[in-house]
Amino acid sequence: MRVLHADKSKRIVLPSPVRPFSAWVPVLVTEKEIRLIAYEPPTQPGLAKGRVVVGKDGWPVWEGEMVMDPVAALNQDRQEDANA
Amino acid sequence: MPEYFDSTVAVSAIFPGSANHADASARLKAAGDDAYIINHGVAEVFRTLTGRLRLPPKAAAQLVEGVLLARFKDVHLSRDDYEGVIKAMADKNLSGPIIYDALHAAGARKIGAASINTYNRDHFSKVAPDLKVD
Repeated sequence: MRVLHADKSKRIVLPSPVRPFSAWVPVLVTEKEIRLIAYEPPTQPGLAKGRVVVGKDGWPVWEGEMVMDPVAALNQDRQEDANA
Repeated sequence: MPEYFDSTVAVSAIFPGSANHADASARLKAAGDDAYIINHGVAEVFRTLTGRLRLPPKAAAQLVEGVLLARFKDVHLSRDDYEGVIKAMADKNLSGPIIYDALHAAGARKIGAASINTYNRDHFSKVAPDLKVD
């Protein structure tokens, strides 16, 4: 365990959390003990890799990564919107 | 004869890697200039392309424009149509996202389509037992 010390103005300067949008969350363990927990937000999945091309039927299609079956995706998105 | 498509078939036509792509493409080609979808379906496809399927918004817009807007004619649903759908949902004690299927069914009825092209067949048996489902 690392002990933190206050400066002359009685401020405790914490080391910056590693990730962007992360923060220290103080947790009162006992009346005499506070722990600082580093909160890191969940990482957002990146965009699918690929590009729009003209398909063999003559209309544009997605050529590249297909994260999941489109019909299942649509139904799950509907459900998610309904639960939002 | 007007052919009505729901969002499941429309989105499948965009992904050559999907299990339904060949079937969706064949249906869309067969419909020619008589393919119809409600505007909510257009938005729904964009939502899924940029949602779970994680396509960049610009690519999704390009696909919606090139497939949904270019290949499908618009079925306009009025406020009265929405009211009718909501009342029907309440009468059948249905709740949640199945209302989107009910809106598609309303679109199909509005253009006098003989059937609905969909991969959510079981949904339509609840909201549109009067319509044939393909």
